[in-house]
Amino acid sequence: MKGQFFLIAAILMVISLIMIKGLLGVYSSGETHANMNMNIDDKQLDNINGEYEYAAGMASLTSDPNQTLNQYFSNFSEYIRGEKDFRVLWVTVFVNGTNQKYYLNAGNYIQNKISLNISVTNSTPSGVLMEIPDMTTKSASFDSDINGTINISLRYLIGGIEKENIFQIKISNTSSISSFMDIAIVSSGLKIGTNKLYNANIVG
Amino acid sequence: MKGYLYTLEMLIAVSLIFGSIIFVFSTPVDKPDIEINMIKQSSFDALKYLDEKGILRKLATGGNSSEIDIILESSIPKSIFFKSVICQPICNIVEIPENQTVILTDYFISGYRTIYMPEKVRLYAWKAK
Repeated sequence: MKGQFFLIAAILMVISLIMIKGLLGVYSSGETHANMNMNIDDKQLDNINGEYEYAAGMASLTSDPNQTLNQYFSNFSEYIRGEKDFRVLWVTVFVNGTNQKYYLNAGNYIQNKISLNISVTNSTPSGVLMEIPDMTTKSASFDSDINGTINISLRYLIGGIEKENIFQIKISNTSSISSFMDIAIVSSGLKIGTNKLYNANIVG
Repeated sequence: MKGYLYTLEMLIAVSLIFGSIIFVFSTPVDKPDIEINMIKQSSFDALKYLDEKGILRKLATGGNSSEIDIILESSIPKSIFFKSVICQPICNIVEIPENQTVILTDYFISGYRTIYMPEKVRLYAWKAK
């Protein structure tokens, strides 16, 4: 009797081993595919980030960098939105080296309305709250109280997650462009994102 | 006698278990099919390399896809056939093989020097038979 129980248990083990045979490679296959897809999406994000930076560089060479920057970023955002499931929130700052003013533009292309809370140091006003619908840009101008570094803090909610990013701009006799990008790509149900900062002085 | 029977049944049970373990693990796990992703990565890396060299942007804004193909020949493995097309923003029709898996890779460009011109370089790649 005892031996028969042993035999029954062995048969059950054999059956379960045969049943899981087909599953042995599934997890690693799925993981490998997901990892490779993420790798490609990561490269794509780098590509897009780099192109925004290039566009900022081109805008800095024009006679009206602030307006051109806004135009290029809006246009490029609309273009890539039509190509793939990119979600972009960008903020650009143009510092006018002649009058200690700086101009902030924000573009929302994240497929949802966003509430962007902007706080700045040593400036008037000290902040602004922008309610930005999808595929829309908004602008604000600030007067700097100092020649020096201004901290700009951005607070917003994306996908239920509150984000805060702080970057700095320099107020001086030199005009400059800065941009902050929050870009994500959604592919195969996965969302991968990155934040990038860009700064450039405008000379000449 | 009972003891002999118990021992025999136990031996049969152990043999069954070992036999099934050998059966289950005797064939190696199938490798995941990552060929498509590898081709896509190679394609993207080749385009990125051209961009870093300062070549891709100039050729793309000039609409010169044939020159891109010539330069890419040295960057993409010989076992992969490919054809590039510049989409400004519409992609021209390209001859690609039928009845074969063709992998698309897009590389975006915002412009060249002072010319803002958003477009993409699309690379069609497929495995040589």
